[in-house]
Amino acid sequence: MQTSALSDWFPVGLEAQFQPASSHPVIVNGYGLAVWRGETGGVQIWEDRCPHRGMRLSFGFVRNNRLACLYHGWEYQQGGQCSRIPAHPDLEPPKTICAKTFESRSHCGIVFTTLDRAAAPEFDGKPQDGWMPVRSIFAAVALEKAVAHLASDGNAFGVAAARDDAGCYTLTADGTQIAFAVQPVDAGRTAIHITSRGADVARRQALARLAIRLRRELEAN
Amino acid sequence: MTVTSDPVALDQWIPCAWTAKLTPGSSENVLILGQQVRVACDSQGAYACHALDDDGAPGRALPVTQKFDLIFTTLGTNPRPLPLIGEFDEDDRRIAMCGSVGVNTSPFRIVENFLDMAHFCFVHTDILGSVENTEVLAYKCELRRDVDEVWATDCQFFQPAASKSAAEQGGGQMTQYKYRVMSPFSVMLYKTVFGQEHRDDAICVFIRPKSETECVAYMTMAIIDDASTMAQLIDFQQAIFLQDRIILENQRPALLSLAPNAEIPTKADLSSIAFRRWLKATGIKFGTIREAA
Repeated sequence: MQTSALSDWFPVGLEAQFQPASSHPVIVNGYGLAVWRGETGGVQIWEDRCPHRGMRLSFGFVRNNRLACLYHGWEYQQGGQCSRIPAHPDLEPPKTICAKTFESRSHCGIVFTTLDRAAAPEFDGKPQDGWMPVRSIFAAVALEKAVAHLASDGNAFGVAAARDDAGCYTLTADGTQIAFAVQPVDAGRTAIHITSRGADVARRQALARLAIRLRRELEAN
Repeated sequence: MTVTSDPVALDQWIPCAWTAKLTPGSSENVLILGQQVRVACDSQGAYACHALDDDGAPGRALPVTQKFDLIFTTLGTNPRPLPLIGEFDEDDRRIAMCGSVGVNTSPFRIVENFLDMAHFCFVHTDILGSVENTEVLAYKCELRRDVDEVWATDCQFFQPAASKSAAEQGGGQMTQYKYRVMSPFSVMLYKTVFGQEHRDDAICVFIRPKSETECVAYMTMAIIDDASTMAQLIDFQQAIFLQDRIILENQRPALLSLAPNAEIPTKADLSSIAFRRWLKATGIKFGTIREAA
């Protein structure tokens, strides 16, 4: 059973995770994505596959705001267009050589995408100030179970989280706002990306420990 | 695991062991195209292969032949003949068994990677290529109908340390290559011997597909090199192959698509294009993506 429609907006990770000039593999619903950032500019979310010979682009390296494939060094600009083929330095790459790209949006310090933009609803989230990373956890449970547990007050944070318009689960505990974004990795694995607002470093460290407890709870039964 | 029913895949000679490793009185179980096979060497040094039943008991006896220091068997009845590689019979050559490496991908991704020069600079940086010299110059590619093989000729590439002996000398060289696809599961190249422009080292890969996306690659070569030790020669080849494996196991999908627009080639991929076209003409389905009807 598909846990969610491809047109849903899915979290792919914490904004703070995607540092400038880095590339990361992310799996959403079994689909491989390369999430990367140039030295400048926003988070790019692409199919994790070079159009040339299928190499995973998340293995690539970022230089001069371009992602270069590890296999043959083909360089791709932000937006997906191939701009250089090293085997033929004088060739201007045809416009048809373009990585498959997906939308990138931010909400509560967490990055979201959708795999079917044409069918996706408008994204209701928005970038907001003050959200700081807590941590991401990866649990060997299905998405529904993770969501049900977050929505109960039996979770590690002791407060039931409520779904917001963008699909984040939020709660307030001891004066701290906490956001949870739930990512289906595949049928049996779920990632939860957690941020907080209004917490100092010590409090965020305490929340990170609660996040680990949350993972244990999810995997315990 | 189910055994493939693909007649083209079945009618190939498949490497299953190095002759030097299978000593008299010993046997080894290997997976070939989904079939468990026992390859054994009796006390007289004669080899035998049997397909194993589900309970592990030896069943049907399979044909056996040996060549290039390898033992080959086939699950088919009319296998494509093993290739002729004259270099293995020349007296002054050293035959180096460079071991077998497990690679989780389609056998055809391995063949294509072997044919490819454009990755030298990025995957074998400062050995088979350098980032200052990335250009792949025009080369020729042809289907040789008399032997039903794909050949790429007039290939050349600037290499900082093309081989063990070239690496010792330093400075780099323009290496001349010829490539040859000998069967769906075997490929080889000829490259300039360092310091002897009229002779070529011969380097071969024979692939044992365990399944459509799991292979073991047996590397062997017949080369001219009096200076290096056998261990050094083997180390060099294995280091190169392990660099390739990082790529090979991370191509998506692992199966090769034979649809012309599934992946976008460029001029440097002439040999890959010819290989895919030839492969498609063989009618093989094993290891490839079946196209929607």
